[in-house]
Amino acid sequence: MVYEIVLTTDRTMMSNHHGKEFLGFLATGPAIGVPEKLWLWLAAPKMKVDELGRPKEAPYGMRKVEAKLIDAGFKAAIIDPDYLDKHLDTMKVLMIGHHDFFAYGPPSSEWWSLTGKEPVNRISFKRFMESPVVRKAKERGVRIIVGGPAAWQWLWELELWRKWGVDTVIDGEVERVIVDLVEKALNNEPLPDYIYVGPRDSPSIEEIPVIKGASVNGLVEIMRGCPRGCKFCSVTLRPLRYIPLDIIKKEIRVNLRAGVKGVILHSEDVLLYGANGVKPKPEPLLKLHDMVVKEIGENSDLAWAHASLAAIKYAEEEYGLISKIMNEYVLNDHRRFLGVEVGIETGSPRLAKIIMPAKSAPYPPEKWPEVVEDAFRIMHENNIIPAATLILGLPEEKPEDVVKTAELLDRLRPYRSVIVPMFFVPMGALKKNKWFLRDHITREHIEVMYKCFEHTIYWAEDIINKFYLKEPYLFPVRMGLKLFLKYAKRRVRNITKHMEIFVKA
Amino acid sequence: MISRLKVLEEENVDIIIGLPDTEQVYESFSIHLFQYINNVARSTGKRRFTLHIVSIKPKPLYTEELRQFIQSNIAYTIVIRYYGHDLEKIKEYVEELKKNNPHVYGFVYHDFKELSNLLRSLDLEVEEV
Repeated sequence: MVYEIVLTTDRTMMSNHHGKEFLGFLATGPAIGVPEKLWLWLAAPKMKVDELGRPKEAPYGMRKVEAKLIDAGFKAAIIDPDYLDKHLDTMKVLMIGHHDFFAYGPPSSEWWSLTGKEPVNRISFKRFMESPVVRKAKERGVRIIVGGPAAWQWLWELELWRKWGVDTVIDGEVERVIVDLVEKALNNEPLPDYIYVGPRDSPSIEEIPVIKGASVNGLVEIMRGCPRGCKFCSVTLRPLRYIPLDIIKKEIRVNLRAGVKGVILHSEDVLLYGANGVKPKPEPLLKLHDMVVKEIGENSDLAWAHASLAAIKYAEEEYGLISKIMNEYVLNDHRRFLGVEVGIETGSPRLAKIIMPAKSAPYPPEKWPEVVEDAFRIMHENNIIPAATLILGLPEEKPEDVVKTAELLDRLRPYRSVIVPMFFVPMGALKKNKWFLRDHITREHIEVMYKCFEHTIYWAEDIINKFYLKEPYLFPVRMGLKLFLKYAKRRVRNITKHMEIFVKA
Repeated sequence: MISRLKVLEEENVDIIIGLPDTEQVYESFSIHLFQYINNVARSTGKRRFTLHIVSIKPKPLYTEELRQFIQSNIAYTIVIRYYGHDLEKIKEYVEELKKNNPHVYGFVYHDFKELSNLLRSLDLEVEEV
């Protein structure tokens, strides 16, 4: 098969992370305490490919672009970065996607700021762009188009943009434009340097294609957009669209046929699927989960990408919906927990009201700490293990806000979870604000970061021992992770003896 | 013949942008551009903008001048095209743009008189900043 359009990315993205999505986050950090090769193997091992270098699984967003191009009649395929040379003679357009090209996203920028070391995702991506095959492709006149949620990062790396000869950077949902852009690239027409697809040009449901190849760890989207309007978020800027059940089923079947047995339901808030505004409704969620578990069977993994704490609390208190979903659909001898990412962001009602007034809805922002704690309790009682984030350095943040966050962390200690603090990165409605960097860390921030660390280390050991990476073939990964946790514990406790060096404000 | 993207460059506004001609980056240029685009959006009802960049800075280094504008925008579709500094070519492009779009304007750094004068001679409304 001759491919004139090749879609690819670097290893940290072109990986299924040992079948454990969360391990991919290791790629956002620098290699600490272990050689870089080992760190990369832990975070992003190579995947199986076929004789043409097509990977069994690929990032979901790239699968959407691939599908759109194939539906339009182009010879397009996602190719593993180690196999690009097989297509050097035929490719005319090279399309590269990424979540975090240059490690400016959270949490990469935070780990970089704290350690002074480049995260491995940045190192890997730069190495990929400098690789002989990509350089040769450019020399031969191949046009390079880059995109994905981190497209904005190219604005901060203009010299590299120029050096690598990237023709077009495109930011936003591309379904309505990508076919035309690629056609123009193939016809050697002049291309724009930069495209931002505004919310009004987001695709309708009918314009979003069904993936043709399997997605990493079975991720499938169930909706796009979010109605909460948090100022730090870029996704909330997009219109809300629910993917119909039959389309979700089709994509799950694409994954199952490729041998990818698990499902990650992707949404910014899974519990708002088919919701009434910000209030979850039982019927659409029960139908969704009923369909999903029927498709994947008893012995496959299931996870939610994200859920909001307010929706968790509301769903359980109004309908007993969380325990119903977990007991009647999710939990069994194989599936002993459900993983999900959640946003705490801040423990301060004052700050919550300013930057995310609808995050707690339908509860008032004054009740935000109670909403967080109640949702954590509900998740703990129902074997849902959240990976939670909070944001330090938000615009308008005051020291007393950070103190409130520290107090909330104390209240969350009894609940099984990992909590990761992130430094504020200007995105969404706040994207013209300044970055929060290491030079702005205060004592209050240090206290919050230390509490997060202690909480996460305690529960991470519990999670690994009881729930995670239990498969025999993952024993080396388990051991690697346990070693890293031991090392991290020792290292951080040493560093906190010298806290002053971090406090500049 | 100018290459135009389907959808994103239909029903749009074309703005010829003359960037400052110096090493220094003028943040105020971006701020003014953002305000200008908001005003044009209000008066035309359009939500798509193609910015045709005229600058001696090479691509894509010129985008540093526009970064703050790009970062401030969340509402509009923006397409950025680069034309270097060849004013003869710019003249051809503008004449072509005007044939198909009634909404073609100029937004030029005040020192870039050559471009302002050229665009005015082509009957474009030009905002100098």
